[in-house]
Amino acid sequence: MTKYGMVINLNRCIGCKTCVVACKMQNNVPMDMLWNRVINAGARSYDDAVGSYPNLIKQYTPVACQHCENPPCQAVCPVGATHTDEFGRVLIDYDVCIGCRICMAACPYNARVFNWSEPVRVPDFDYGQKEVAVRPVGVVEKCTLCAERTSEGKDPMCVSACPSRARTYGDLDDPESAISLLIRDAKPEHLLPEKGTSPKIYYIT
Amino acid sequence: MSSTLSRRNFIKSGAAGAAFLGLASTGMLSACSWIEQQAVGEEEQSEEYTAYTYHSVNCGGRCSLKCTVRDGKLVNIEPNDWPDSRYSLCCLKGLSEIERVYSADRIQTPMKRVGERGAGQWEAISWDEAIQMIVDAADKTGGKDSILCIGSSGLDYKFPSLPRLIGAQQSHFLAKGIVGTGIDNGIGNGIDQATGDGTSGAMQTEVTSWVDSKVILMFGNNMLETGIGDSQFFFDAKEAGAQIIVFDPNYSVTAAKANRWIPIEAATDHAFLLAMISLILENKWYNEEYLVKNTSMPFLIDTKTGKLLRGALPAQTTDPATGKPVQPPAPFKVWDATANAPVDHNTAGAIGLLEGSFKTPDGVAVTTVFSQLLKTQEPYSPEWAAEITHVPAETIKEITELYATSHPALLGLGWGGTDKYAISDVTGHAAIILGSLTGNIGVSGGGAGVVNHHFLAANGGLGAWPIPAEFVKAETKVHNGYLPLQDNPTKIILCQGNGLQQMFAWQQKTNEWLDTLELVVTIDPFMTPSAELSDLILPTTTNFETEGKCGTMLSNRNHILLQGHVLDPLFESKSDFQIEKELAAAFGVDKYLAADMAEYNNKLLSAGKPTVAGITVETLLENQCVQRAKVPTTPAVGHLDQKYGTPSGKLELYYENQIEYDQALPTYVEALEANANNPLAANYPLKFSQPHSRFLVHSQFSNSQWIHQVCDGPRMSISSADAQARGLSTGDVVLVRNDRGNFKVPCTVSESIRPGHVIMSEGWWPAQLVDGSLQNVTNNQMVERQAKLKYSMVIAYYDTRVEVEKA
Repeated sequence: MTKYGMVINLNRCIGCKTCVVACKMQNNVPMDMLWNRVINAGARSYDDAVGSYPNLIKQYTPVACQHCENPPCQAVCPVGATHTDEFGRVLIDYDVCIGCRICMAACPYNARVFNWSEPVRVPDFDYGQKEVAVRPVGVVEKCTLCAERTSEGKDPMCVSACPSRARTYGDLDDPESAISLLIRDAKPEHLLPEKGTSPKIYYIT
Repeated sequence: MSSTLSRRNFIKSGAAGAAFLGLASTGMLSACSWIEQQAVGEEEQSEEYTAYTYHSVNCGGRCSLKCTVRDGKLVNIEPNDWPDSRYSLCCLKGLSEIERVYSADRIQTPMKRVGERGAGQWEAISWDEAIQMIVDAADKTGGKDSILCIGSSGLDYKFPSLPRLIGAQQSHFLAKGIVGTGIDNGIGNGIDQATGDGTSGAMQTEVTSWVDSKVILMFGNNMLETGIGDSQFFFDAKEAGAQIIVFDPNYSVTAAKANRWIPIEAATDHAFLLAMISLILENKWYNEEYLVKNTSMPFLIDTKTGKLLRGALPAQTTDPATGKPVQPPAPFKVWDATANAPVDHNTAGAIGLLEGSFKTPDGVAVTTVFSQLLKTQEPYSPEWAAEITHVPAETIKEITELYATSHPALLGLGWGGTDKYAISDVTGHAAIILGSLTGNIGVSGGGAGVVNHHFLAANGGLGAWPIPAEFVKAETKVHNGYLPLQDNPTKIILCQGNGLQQMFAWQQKTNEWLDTLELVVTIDPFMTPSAELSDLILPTTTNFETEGKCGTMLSNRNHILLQGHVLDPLFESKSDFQIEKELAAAFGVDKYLAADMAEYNNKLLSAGKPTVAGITVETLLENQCVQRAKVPTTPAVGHLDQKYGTPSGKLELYYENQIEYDQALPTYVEALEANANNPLAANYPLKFSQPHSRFLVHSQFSNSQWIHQVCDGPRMSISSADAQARGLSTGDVVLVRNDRGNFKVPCTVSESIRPGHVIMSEGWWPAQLVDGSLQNVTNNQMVERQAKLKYSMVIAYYDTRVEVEKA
C-alpha cells in the first residue's frame, strides 16, 4: 500500500508564505480564498510575537488539510462527496458535493473553503496545472496534496517551492522512505492531537 | 484530444529550450479585453509550452523559473531545475509574477504628461514621438552631461552602452567617487578599503560555507525575510552546530530563528563592535601570527602626521597587456626586530613587530598600527558600550569571548539595516578589524561583511560589450543623493525603474528638483511613483517577455542564468535593450550596439573569464536556461590565499584618507538623528527605520494583487508601550511626521517592536498609503568624511526621527 503524508519542520519555517502562493497558483484558487495558510499562533498579528518585549516567541505554522486517518469532515458528509482515496488522500468529489458545508464546521483545522459566488481570478483566466478541476459555485474545496502533481511523480507544489526546505513529502507506508525515517528520528507531532483525527501531516517543533 | 502544432509555436517553444507538451486547449478563453488586445495569433491559442527565465528583482535570489504558457498566457511558475539542485527554489514574489505580469498597472504605450506633474493626466503617443521628445530635449540642453541615466537595483540591463556613446552621466552604486548612488555603500566604505574588494562590503565567504562556522553574529540583518533564497543555508549551519546570534532592535524572523537574539538600540552596532575590539585586545584573543603576516597591523605610522611610513618608489614595470609603463606603489615600513630598524614590509625575511613605538634613524617617532589601535580603543570598554547599546556589559563580554575563541566565526551585517545609518562606514571598519584580529578573513565559514549572496562565487565571470575607448561617460560632480540640493548639470533624466521614489530621501526636495529639469523620463513596465512624477513614460517588458529568443543573462550562485522567451512583449512594451538601441539610433550611435540580445549575451560570454568558457546562448537554451560555471563544487571563499587587492596586498586596516576625521582607525561617532542625544528627540521621540519585508523587493510588488492577498499592506509597526502612550490600537490610521514632512498609514501594535522605535517596510507606493509618501520624512543629510571613502556618502534613510499620532 501507499499512503502519502508530509512532515513540516517548524524550526525551519520562516513564515514567508511561499507555500501559500504556490498552492494558490498550482490549484487555480480564486481571489480571497486560500487552501493553505500560515499562522503565527497566539500573536495578534502576523509579525507580532507572543510575550512581552524582549521576552518573546514567534512560531509560524503552515496549515492546510491534514489528510486525517479519521477525517471528521468525511464522517459528516451526507452525500459521500468527501472520501479517502487509495493513497490515503482525503478528497472531494465536486460533482457530488451539495454545498451544505457541514464538513467545514466539522474540520478542526479550518482547512476548507467554500465557493459562495462566481470565482474572481486575477488575472482573469485559469492558472496552474491544467489537470486541476475547475470548481463550480456552491462546492467546498481544499488541499488535495497536489494529487495532479504527485500523480506525475512530482512533490506537491508547497514542498517543491519551500525555500527553507521545511517540508518533506512521501510514502508513510514505506519504512525506508525519507519521510518515514524523519518521523522515526524527529518524533514529529500532530496538530490538535486531542481531536483524535490522526493526520498524515506531521510537524517538527 | 487532437493537437495542432503550429510552426510558429513549435519554433517558439524550441527556441526557449522548451519541453513541448503539445496538448489541445481545454477551451479556456480570456474574457479580459486588455489581454486580448495583444493576443498573439488567434489560431495558435490552443497549446501549452514550457519556457524558462529568471527573477531579477534584486533580493539576491535570482531564482531561475520554469514557466508554463497556455493559450498564450503565463499560467504556472515553478522553480527551475538547476544543475546544483539546492538552488531550485523560488519565493512568493517570483510566483506572484503570474498576476503582476498582467497587472492593471502595466504601462501599455509611451505616454506624455499633459497635466500638472504627478496629477496622473497622460496622453498616449507613439514610440517615434517619444524618442523624438528625448532627442529634442537633448538638442535644447546640449545633451552630454545634461543627461543622467539612473538604473534601479535589480535591473540587469541598465543601459550599458548609451551613457558612454552620448557622453551622459550614469549613476551606479558601486561607482567610485562622487557618482555613487549613496545606497548600499555605507558598510562597503568601511570594509572594501581594507580588503581591496569592489563588492560594497559583501561577505568574503559563500553562504553555503556557513556549515563550517562555529559562531555567526549578525547585526541589523534579517536574511530570513530579505534573502529567502539563502534561508536553507542558515538552517543548515544551525543544524551543523553554529551558534547564531542576531542583534536587532526588533524581534525579526531571523532573530526568532537564531540561537539567540540580542535586543540592541538602533544605530549603535558600531559601539558594540568597538567594545568587542577592546576585549579582544585586552584578553589577547587576537591571532598575532595572522596579523603580522596578512594585515597592515605591523605597519609604521608617523605619530606626528598620522601618515603611514613608506619606502622608496620601486622601478616602473610594463603592463604586458597594454605595453604601457606602470608605477607600483611604494612599500610600507615595518619595524624589523633583528635589524632593530624600519624596513620595507615586503623585504624578504623581514618580520615586522606587531606592537611598539620607535624612533627611526631619521629621528621620526613611529608606532605600529596595532599599537595605535590599542590607544584609540582605550575609551571603548564593555561598560561604555552598555550605556549606548543598552546591552549589558556581561553579555558583551560573553559574546566577544565566544566569537574570539571559536574558529571559524562569521560577522555579518545588513545592507537593509546597519547600512542605512550615517555611521555605517565606522561599523564596517570595526567589523573588518574584528575579522582580521581573529584571523577569520579568507577562511571557509569565516568572514566579516554584508550577509549577501549574489556578489560571490562565480559572479563577475562575464565580460562586457565593447565600446570604443573614445566614448566616455560624463563625470558627475555632485553626489547622486545631493542632486536635488546642489547645482549640477543634469537637465534630463532617463530613469530605468522606480528611482525617483526610491533613490532619494526627502521626497519633497526631489519633486522640487524635477520641476527645474527639461525632461524627466521613466522607463518601467508599471505605473510606479517614479513614472507618476515623470514627463514621459516608456513601457518596458518584464523578465517574462522578450522580442527574440532571449533577454538578459547573469552570473549568480556559480551558474549562468538566461532569460529565455516566455512571452512576446505585452502591449507596446519593448525590452530595455530595444529601448537603448532605439535611443542610440536617434542619437546616431547605434552602430556600436549588438543586433539583438543573443549577440550581446554571446559577447559577454566569449569575453568572459575561463569559468564561463564553452557556455553560449545556444547551450543555455538547450539546458533550460541555467548552466553551472566551471568552478569548484566547494563553497567559494574569497582571499583563501591571503592576497588582497590593496597596494600592499594585505588587509589594510588603517585608513589614511580618514586621518582628518579621526577615523583612520574606527572611533565612536553618533548617528545623525537616531542617537539619544539629538535635540530632535524632544519633539520626535521615535526612531523610524524602513527595513525590507518578505512581501516586497524594495518598491517592487507594491502593486501585486497576489501579494496583497497574503499581507496587510503598508503598516507602521509600533511597540505596545508607545501605542498605549498615544492611545493607538491596531488598524488606527496614524500621522507620521517630522520637520521634513508627513504621511498617513494604518498602524499595527506589536510586541516585536522595541519601545522608542517604529518601523514600516520600505518601498510601498504612495498609492497604497492613506496619504503622502514614506520618503516625505526620510533624512537626506549625508556625512562629509564618507566622500573620501571608496563609494562616497551613504544616504542615511533610517537615521530619521518622527512622531506618530492618531490621524
